[in-house]
Amino acid sequence: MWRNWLARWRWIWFEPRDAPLWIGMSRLPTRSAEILLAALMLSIGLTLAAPGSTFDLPHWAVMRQWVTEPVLAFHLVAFGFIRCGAIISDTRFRFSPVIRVMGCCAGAGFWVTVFLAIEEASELWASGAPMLLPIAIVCALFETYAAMRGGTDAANLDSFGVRERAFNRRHGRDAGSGA
Amino acid sequence: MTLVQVLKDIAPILAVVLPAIAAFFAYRRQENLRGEQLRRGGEKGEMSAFAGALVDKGQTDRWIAAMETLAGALADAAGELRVVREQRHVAQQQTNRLLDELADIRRALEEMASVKRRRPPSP
Repeated sequence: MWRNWLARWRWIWFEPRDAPLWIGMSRLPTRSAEILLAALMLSIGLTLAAPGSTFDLPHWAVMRQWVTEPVLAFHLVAFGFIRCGAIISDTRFRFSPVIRVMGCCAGAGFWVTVFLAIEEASELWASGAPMLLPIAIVCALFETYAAMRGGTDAANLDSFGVRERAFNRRHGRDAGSGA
Repeated sequence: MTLVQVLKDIAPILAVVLPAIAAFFAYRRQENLRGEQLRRGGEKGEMSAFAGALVDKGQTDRWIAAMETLAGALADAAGELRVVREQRHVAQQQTNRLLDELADIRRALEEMASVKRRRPPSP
């Protein structure tokens, strides 16, 4: 408990963006959902990029018509890497929450697409509802939740510099002059 | 084309746009919350409310600059008071010296009087 208080007061004296790595890592559990989804995106991309044709499975009969496997794998790996980088760089980079929100949007789009593809693959339904269906929709919902968290972080970090510009205007200073 | 089909067609786009809208509203809510906290802290006169609000480098730099300005103003005021103290010190020393001189004169007069009292008048 005392460590929590110590960490809270540290923020006043230390610049959050210059915080050491372990502080950023101690803040990671508060965004578990986003970390999980980013890791999932990266791992799915790597799985698709692995040799062999995953899209030959009956689950992906519809998805196969929309996008080829290498293209989807490339995009998932790229977005996954960018998201993981934005999560790890945490407060060190002011714009990272916005990148995280963009990653969340891409993730939600991916999961809804997966949902639709599975739902359209009619041969799967012969033996009951496929389990990927609820997984995909829950992941899409949590992507939205993570995007809200990213928006909150963007406000806290002043990602767009709105407050800084307002302050500079009010005090007649040049933009970006710092002090 | 049924309504369900239309919904299915636009669902991926909606899924991309909805988190962005949700993030925007979360952003706005957090900005409002922050403004409210700062306003309340300002009303109560809590400096910690403002210190806790320093989250970016520019803000911290400006905060430090403001504190330095304040410290400079205090140093100026202290300098003025020091001058006043020096002036009062000088005046006090002059007063002391004058009092000493007056005491010397008084002592001399008393001595003259006592000498005059002890010596008999000349014939």
